[in-house]
Parts: sequence; C-alpha cells; structure tokens
Amino acid sequence: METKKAIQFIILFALSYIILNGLYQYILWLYAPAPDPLTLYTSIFFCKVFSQFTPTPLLFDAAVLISLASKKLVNINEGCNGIALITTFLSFAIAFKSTFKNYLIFVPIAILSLLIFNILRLYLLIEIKLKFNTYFDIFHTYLFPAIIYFFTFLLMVIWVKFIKRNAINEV
Amino acid sequence: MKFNFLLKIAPIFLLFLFDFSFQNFNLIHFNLSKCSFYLYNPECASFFEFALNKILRLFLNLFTINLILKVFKINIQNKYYYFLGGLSMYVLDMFLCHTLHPLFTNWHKVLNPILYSPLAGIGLLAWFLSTKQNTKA
Repeated sequence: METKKAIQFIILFALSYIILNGLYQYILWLYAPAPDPLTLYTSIFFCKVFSQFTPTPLLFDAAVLISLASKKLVNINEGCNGIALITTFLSFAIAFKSTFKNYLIFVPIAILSLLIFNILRLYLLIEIKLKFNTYFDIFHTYLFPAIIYFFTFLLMVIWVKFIKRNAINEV
Repeated sequence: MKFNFLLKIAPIFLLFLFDFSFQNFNLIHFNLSKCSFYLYNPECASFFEFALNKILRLFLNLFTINLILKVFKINIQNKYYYFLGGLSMYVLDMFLCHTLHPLFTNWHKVLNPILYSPLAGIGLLAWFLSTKQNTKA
C-alpha cells in the first residue's frame, strides 16, 4: 500500500512538473527572442528594490542586462527568475493534495517567500560579482542552487505539516 | 528525529550536493568544464561529452531515489522497469538533442529537471519526511 502511494506520488509529481514546466517553455517560445514577462518583471522589481541598479531588456538575447552606473554586471534570464522553484513547489503541492482553503492560504505565501528569497540571491550574486569576482561561478552554479533547493525542500515539509495541523484542528 | 535516523538520511543530502556539483563535470577530461552542459552546444563540447555528463547525472538521480526508498524501507518489486523507463527517456532525449532543433531543445528543458537533477529525489524525501512513513526508518 505504501509502495503504491510512493509510486503514485512520484508519477504525479513528475507529471505536474512536466506540464507546468512545459507551459513555461511555451511562454518562453511565444516571446523569443525577447525576454519573457516573468524574467522582465523580476528584473524590474529587483531594480526597484535595489535602486542603484538599472535594467535593460536585451531584445535578441531573451535576457535583461543589469548594470551599475553604466557598468555591465550580469544578465538575468529564464533560469534566474525563480520560476523553476515555484514550479517545483507547486508540483509537490499538487502531488500532495489538500483542501482548496489550504491551497489558498499556503501557496501564495510559499510563492511570495520563494520570490523574495530569489531576489536576495540575485542581490548577493551581484555583490559577489562586484567584490569577489573569482568566486562568482562557484556561488552561481553550485552553492546558491543547493541553498535555494534546500529552502524549497523546507517549504515542502512545512506544506505537509501545515496540512496535517489544519486537518487535526478541523477534527 | 532520532540521531540514527539523521545519520541515515545524511548521505542523501550529500548525494544532492554531489549531483549539483556534477552539473558541468566533463567525464572525458575528468574536470569541471567551463562549458555549461545544460543544453547541447557543439561549439563548446562534443556530443559524446554532453551525453556522458547527462547519463552520469541520470544514474546519480536514480541512485539517490533508490537510496531514499531503501532508507524508508519501500520495496518496489519491478523497479528495473522504472530504471529502463528512465534509460529509454534518456536515449530519446539525447537523440532529439542531437538534432539541435529549437523545439527539441525546449523539450529537453522540460525533461531536464526530472531526469538529470535531484528534483524528484528532493520531493520524495520531503514527502517521506513529512508523512508517517518516516517512523519506519
């Protein structure tokens, strides 16, 4: 019985992920070669919060250039906007079903926290690029993905605990 | 959570980190390549190098999932069919990547996180840790 549940969970999780990610790839394809709206708004929001930076959409590179006092710093593209993490969490929430009320309360909070976490990651990466450029690749490719996926993992655990607590309260 | 249990799941977290660090690993030169192996780029690496990196990550991914199932004492009888399923997806994906067609590149982007990243393992571990099944481990 538990084995069946585990397999069902993996299949539903993988299928939800493929469908959600497929939808996002479709949006990317619609806007190519310009940056997609999610990448664009993430970059604009980032530059509103950290106003010392300026965003410039790169219409043929599907990215947004972030610069500081006309010095080119980094390109923000589809992989930097946090959508992959949101998709991961949503797939988990779909595979681990709950009530509509729980989705309504927890999912927006989780998405918001992932977006904030991602904005902080972008800021730290740019600061590393400015001050410790030699370590940029290590942080960008290895450390931050591990940290941010661990954060998503914690959100998944909290989601299940949240469902359980609400179920107990309703009984 | 008991200490013994934490010891049991520690290697899974190590495997996740290991998996992340293999993203740009070139098996032929046995070093971390400056090329990104996320998509096939013939100007940066040969197709063989790209395909080897992907199969390494696929095996790592399947090994991690298998380890999670073992730690939580879940015995899947016909797991070799799942293994073969993963391998078939890999062969199809590599064949499509080799064509360099934009449509198939997008398909690779869809498939990549499930086949070659520890994502499914992360989800599965979170599920086991949160449900009552972890009491069996």
